[in-house]
Amino acid sequence: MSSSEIISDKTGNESDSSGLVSHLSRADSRELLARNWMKAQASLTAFLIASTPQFSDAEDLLQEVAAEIARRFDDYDQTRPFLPWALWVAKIKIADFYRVRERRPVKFVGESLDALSEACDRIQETLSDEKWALEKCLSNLTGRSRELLQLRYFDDLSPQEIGERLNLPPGNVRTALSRVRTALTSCVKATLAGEANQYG
Amino acid sequence: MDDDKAFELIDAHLDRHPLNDDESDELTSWIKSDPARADAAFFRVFLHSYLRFRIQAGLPAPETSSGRSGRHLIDVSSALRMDNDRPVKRRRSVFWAWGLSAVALTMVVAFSVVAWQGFARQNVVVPDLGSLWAYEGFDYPATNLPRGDRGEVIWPTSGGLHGLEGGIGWSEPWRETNSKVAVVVDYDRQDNPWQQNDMRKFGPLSYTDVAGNSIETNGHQARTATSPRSITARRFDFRNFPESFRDDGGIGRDGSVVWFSFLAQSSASSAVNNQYSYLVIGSKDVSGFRVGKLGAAPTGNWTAVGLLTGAEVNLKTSDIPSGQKVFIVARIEFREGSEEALIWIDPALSSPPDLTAPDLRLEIPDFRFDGIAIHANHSTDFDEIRFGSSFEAVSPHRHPQ
Repeated sequence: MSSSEIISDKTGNESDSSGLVSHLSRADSRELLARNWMKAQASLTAFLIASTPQFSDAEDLLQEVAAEIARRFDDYDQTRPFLPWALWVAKIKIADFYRVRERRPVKFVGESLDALSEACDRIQETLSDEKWALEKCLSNLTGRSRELLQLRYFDDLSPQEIGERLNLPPGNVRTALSRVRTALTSCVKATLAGEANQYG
Repeated sequence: MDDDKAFELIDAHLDRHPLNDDESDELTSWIKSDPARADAAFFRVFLHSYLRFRIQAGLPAPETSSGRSGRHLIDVSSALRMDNDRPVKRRRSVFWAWGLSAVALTMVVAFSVVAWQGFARQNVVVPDLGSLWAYEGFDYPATNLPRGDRGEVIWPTSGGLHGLEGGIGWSEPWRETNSKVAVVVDYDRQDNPWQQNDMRKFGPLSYTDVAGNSIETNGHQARTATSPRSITARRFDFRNFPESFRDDGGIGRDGSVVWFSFLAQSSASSAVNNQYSYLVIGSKDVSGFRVGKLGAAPTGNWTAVGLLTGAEVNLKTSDIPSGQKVFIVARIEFREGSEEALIWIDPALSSPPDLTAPDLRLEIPDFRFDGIAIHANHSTDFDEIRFGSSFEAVSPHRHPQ
């Protein structure tokens, strides 16, 4: 039995069946799925990125997770939060991903995947504020910072490839990219703190 | 391990630099030691994810110099310049000298200026990409279309795009306001059998110019309803638009210039039965602007028109059939009195189009807008809707390999 075949089994949460989506009309069920998915998608994407070797793997897996969730949505208990259920599906898909490829899980966060999924659940509620602040902060990017991010994320180049293109050591590119991200994170915090002071 | 080191390791992994066992174990311990650290780690991963999505959609332009006062600009030029252009020994000595002296802070500022000048001399040109204010790539799960007893598609009257709230720069989810709804379609999972003359069967919405540059696309695409109609609307988050572009009536203060673009393809080129499927900004009852396929265009070709108190004014039609997929770019200059709209269909992407040679040029009654709506009474696909400050902002593209 593949791990995805046991997906309809209990997740460990005890509940009666009255909250199951299967009791809804098809239209209501689809609308509920769309709303829940949109809210959870950013978090799920980040979680999959943390769990797979490449962005492209995470994007492929996201499609598989979406399809599996749509297929199994009748089993979802709408009285419970959606994200933990979706994360559970995602973890099964991640396990399948490595099993099918006969590869060891990527050496990244190892046994802290559960801690990360709890973090994912915690910060999901604030992500829309953080995205808004991030938008503001992205307009603060200048010169080489913009260029590095463009090369990394638009052209999908590795630091090694960016270094070759700009005639820079790859280590310096890695460090510079990290600094930009740290600066963006600080800017997001400062922007949100400023908003809180303004309206709080 | 300190926080900076942890973030470096997360970045390294996500920048395709594999961690070794020791690094992975250290990072795992750091994450598990404190929920706040786990949250910070997750946000770092989310940052990568968001940057990838956001930059592929089009990075916002840097703020103008007048908007920068008191703000912390993010640039790494000094670090790169220092590492790249000076001999190793000298780099180290300079680094330590700076690290040991408070006075060095002043030097850092001065050095940054010199370093940036050094970069500006290098031969990598960074174009001003303009600001992207709003984006919708319809990156949603495909809508499941119900089937009748004979397996025929029953077009939904609820759900569809209603309530979906992805993209960038919107203040609310999509709203469906008519008897049927627009849906999200996955080209690879077609539920709807193609009509004989439906050119959409040949591939999903996309655009590649003559030089091989391709418009960046994400997710799936929207499909409007057939018979009687769908009206799908969404308002912008004004905070994403420059204040100088707004007044009490909405976006479009005199003096502002707004660019927008989208991909589209109708199920049929013909103009029979008053078929329409268009994107509208502004108001039909007061004044506004429609672009797409319009019932009033006798050819059924891609068309643009102004709106004034319920009437269409200054209709201009292209010679491109609406059954052909197109990348439409519009530039609206909001002026004292009437506005001017310039439209290009399938322009070259490598540089801004010639303002003196648009495919369509028309005057539009004075108007403001606060969102967009897609009206249609027959099946048409729309995708990659972008509003921004420049042609570059609304036409992010990949160069040929």
